[in-house]
Amino acid sequence: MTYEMNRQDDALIISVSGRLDTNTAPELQEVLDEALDDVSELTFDLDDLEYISSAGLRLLLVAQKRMTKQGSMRVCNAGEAVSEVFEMSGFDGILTLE
Amino acid sequence: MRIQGRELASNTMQAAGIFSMCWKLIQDDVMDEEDAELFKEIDSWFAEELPFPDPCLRKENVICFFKTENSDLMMRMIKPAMWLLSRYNHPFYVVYTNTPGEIVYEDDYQVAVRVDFVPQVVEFHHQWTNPDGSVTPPA
Repeated sequence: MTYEMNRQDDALIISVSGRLDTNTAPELQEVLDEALDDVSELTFDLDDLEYISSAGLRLLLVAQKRMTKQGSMRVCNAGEAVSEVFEMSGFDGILTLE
Repeated sequence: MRIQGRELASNTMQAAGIFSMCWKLIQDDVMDEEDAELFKEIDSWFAEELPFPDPCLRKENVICFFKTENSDLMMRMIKPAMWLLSRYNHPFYVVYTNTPGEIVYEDDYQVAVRVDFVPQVVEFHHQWTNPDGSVTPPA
């Protein structure tokens, strides 16, 4: 898993690629915990994300819970495999998918 | 509306609710760690967003139902827990009722009802369709 962050004022875009699973999610979670301070618009760009497991879903849920309190969050460009996981798990009803 | 399983809870002798079922899978080491962590995050959302019914705090014999009129957000947040149960082939039922029972607690999203009734067994007609194809209504 690799990630790239672009911050503009209070907006943060995080592009995640590869696999977001139990091995990789903790690293991104640690980064997010600090990076979300003072962010009011958070965007996850999942264009190059190949796989997401429960650990990745949990990361998105934690971010969603935090952003509900301090702004907004959207998830963009999820591919077919990741979108299927969102649909099966019910996360398509929790996240704002674009 | 209530999501419940086949197993009976020892305290209420009613079908266990979805949170109890998921916690049991965790306690029995059936659910793997990352799924368990996801469930705990879902559980914490409900703990933060919903009042905890007083009768449940007092461990009275009650079960809880979501109110259907305010259940949209609840249902969206509970779906991942239903997905987790499905992943572990754990059966569950979504139950709607017009007679939940004696309501002893109520807030905007849920009710808690007393469950001190005795289950009744009722005989039904053993066969609805006769050999000649005619249908016999139940007695």
